[in-house]
Amino acid sequence: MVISIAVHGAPYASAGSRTALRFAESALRLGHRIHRVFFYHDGVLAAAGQGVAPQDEEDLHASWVRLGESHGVELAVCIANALKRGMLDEAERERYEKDVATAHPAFTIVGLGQLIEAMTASDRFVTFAA
Amino acid sequence: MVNKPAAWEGCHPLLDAEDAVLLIEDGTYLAQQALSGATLYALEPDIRARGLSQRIHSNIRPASFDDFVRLVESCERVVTWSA
Repeated sequence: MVISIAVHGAPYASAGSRTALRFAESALRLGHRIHRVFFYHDGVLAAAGQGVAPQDEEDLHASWVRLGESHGVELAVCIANALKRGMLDEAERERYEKDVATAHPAFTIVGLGQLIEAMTASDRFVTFAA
Repeated sequence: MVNKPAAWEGCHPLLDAEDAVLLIEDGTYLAQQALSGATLYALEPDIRARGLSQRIHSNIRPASFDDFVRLVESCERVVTWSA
């Protein structure tokens, strides 16, 4: 089955980012395909590549990167929510002439159309609220 | 899916008997009482994280993350209720 996921909550502030990760890992283990994870609202902060998690806590950003890279899962970040929270990839950094690209390259910055596409292209769509 | 106790009030009147409700995160606090209207599940790791294991009502079934995925498989649409 093809599944897409939306994550609305910020890592650490909301439980949703971690719940979504565990759900995605189980779905992949059970043989499903994750078409896209769409990070929306504060959820976009999962892309923050400069965060350092305490040693006794799960690094949620690193877990998302691992999920994306080892299973070919698209990690899509809503552009409108990302820019105003300072989450920029290299292209946006250049466009707005900022000093640093803050989003890890495993995440792609996309428009809202990709949320709709994920809904129509997947058998199931699961939203993890903040 | 219900992720906060306050979300139950919005969700409950719309339930059909053939629906399944999965309580997750702080929504698992709801599992201490008898809820009705659908088949009810509560995410087991979230129950344990909140120290609720001995307080779960008998009509609520504990669910692992694999069970969560199977529920999503079996339900054509998944609606998230949050407060």
